[in-house]
Amino acid sequence: MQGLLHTVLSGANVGILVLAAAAFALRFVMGQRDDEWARGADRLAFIAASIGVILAVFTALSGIFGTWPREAIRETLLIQNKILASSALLGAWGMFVLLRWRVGPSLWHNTTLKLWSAFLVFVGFVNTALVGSMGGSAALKGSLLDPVFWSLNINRFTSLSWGPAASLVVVVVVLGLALFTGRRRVSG
Amino acid sequence: MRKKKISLSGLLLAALAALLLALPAFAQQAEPEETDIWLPDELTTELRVKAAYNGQDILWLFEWAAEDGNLFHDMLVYEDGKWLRRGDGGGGADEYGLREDRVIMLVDAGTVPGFANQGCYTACHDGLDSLSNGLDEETVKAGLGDSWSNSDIRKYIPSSRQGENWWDGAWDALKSEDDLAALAEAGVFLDMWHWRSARGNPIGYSDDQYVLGYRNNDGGRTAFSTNWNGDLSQPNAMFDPAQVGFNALNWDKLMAGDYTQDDIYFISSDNSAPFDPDHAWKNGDVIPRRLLRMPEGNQADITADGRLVDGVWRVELRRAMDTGNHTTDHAMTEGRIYNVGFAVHKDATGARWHYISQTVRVGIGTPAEITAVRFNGNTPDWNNIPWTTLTIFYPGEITWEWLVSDAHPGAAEIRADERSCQSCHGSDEASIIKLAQASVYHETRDGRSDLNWWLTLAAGMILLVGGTVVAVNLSTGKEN
Repeated sequence: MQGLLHTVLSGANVGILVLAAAAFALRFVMGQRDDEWARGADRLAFIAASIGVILAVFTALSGIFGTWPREAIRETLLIQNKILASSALLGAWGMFVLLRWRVGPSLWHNTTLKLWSAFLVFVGFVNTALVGSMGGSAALKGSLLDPVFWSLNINRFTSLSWGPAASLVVVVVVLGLALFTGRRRVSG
Repeated sequence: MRKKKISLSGLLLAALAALLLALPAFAQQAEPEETDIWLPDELTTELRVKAAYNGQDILWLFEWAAEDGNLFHDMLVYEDGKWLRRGDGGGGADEYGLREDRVIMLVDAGTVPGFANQGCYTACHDGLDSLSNGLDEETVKAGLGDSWSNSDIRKYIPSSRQGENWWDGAWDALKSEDDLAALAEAGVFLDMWHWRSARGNPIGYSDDQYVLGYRNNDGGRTAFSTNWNGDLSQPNAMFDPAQVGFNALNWDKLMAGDYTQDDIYFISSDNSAPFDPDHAWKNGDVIPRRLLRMPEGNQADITADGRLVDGVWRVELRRAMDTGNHTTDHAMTEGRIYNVGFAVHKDATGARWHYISQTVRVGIGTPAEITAVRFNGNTPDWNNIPWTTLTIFYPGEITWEWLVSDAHPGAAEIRADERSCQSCHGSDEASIIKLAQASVYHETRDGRSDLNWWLTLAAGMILLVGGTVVAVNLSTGKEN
């Protein structure tokens, strides 16, 4: 039953996030336009992404509680990789929703935020596809993306986690940039 | 001045984005050389079994679905002046589909500790050929000495090893030849019936083997030999054109699945001629790398008749109830019950990539999970004997050592030899599917530190949140 719930929620989740990505892309190519169509695409992207983020939380929970045996979460690399990609999905879409909520429609008139939002949506979209594909593999049903993974020599059954050095570099660089730009902002 | 600020912002954002995109390059794959993972499309399948006997012979009838049923195994293909080997194994399904289908029975006469409860798992051990932790030849020789005539270790039963307990002998603690001979005399071995669709069935025979310290052939000559001259890098034999009208099979026809059992598709001592290197060989000529021959001695004990019809294998095996070879075959005696484990290879897989059954009780003329029915005459009327349908499953890399380790919750009962797999895991189809799923999870896990996983998760989140903070900082006062 939990497996079925996860399947249903996953389908709805992927659908709504694809809609959000499509609406975002549409708004993005409209550039500086500020007509009904542009505002509609913006609102659709924001609302669909918001619903997608909320749904993603429930989808993840249904996946965790539906996994048997439970140790698979801790011991199976495919599942661990799926959790990593799900976290990236949630993080990227969540940040986009937060940013759009705080900044409002004026986000589209700020080049930096617009580009960063595009990047977040891109990361969110790619990880949405990854999570769905890994779900297909976990259920041993295969995935349309299998040939892509094969051609890129990516083995989803082995760990895709970074080593400690890469994690440290990420943290140091990002925090350093945040502090540096924050100081510039205050002093400016 | 403003233009300069925008350039710096763009630069920082681009650097951050590039960092995120470049990070997968740092992703560390968990020692892929130590794993050999290939999972079948279906974790379970069905095997249907019937058995009958007439006092002289015992017969088995098997049926299983094999949509891509395979008649071939291990072929030589001529390509630009060289004979290349195709279908020579590797992990999982062969990329050319050139690995034969098989059905296997391991028969225990109630003499092998552990088999009545854990079945085939008693024969599957850490270090076996094709497992991710399979041992290389050098290690095997170092552990078992130069007198060990094999380059690997294959199936063996715990009784063949010396340990503190019956269940914990290490792979390299092989008992002496005298001790092994004494075990064989006492019937402590698994009688292995091993039907192969390519290496035996075409000439009507099945391999006859037994498992004790290794997976051994019974005495005598096997039904196949290797059709390859390593010194000359060419086959030893080709099809005899005077008999069959051609020298070789055709690769395109082979790949198209156009050969059937009604064609001449195998090479044997009866339809072959010495290889002619001067023949005008052309690209795509194919000669089987296995030459079939009439088996001799104990190897000729089991006759076989397997037909692949509409994607279903139907295989009949026949053997004397008592072959007289009591150190390699178990006599099947009326009124007795035997413990049997069944296995099937399909979809061009070999080695460990098979489906196995839980232990099944087979009664010879006495009620059991499978009851062999007595018949008169030479051939049973199979229509009057009911099928027993077994759900067989993919066992992954679960080994005996893992089952008796503290990592397995049922280890204590297994060590005491008092509880079967099915008594814990169930034997209905849904339970067996779960058992197979657990096997897959076990196969795809590794001992990689959780710390890396958490670090990756945390760093990824910091990247997304921190990147957004950076973007907001850079954007201040830049509305267009």
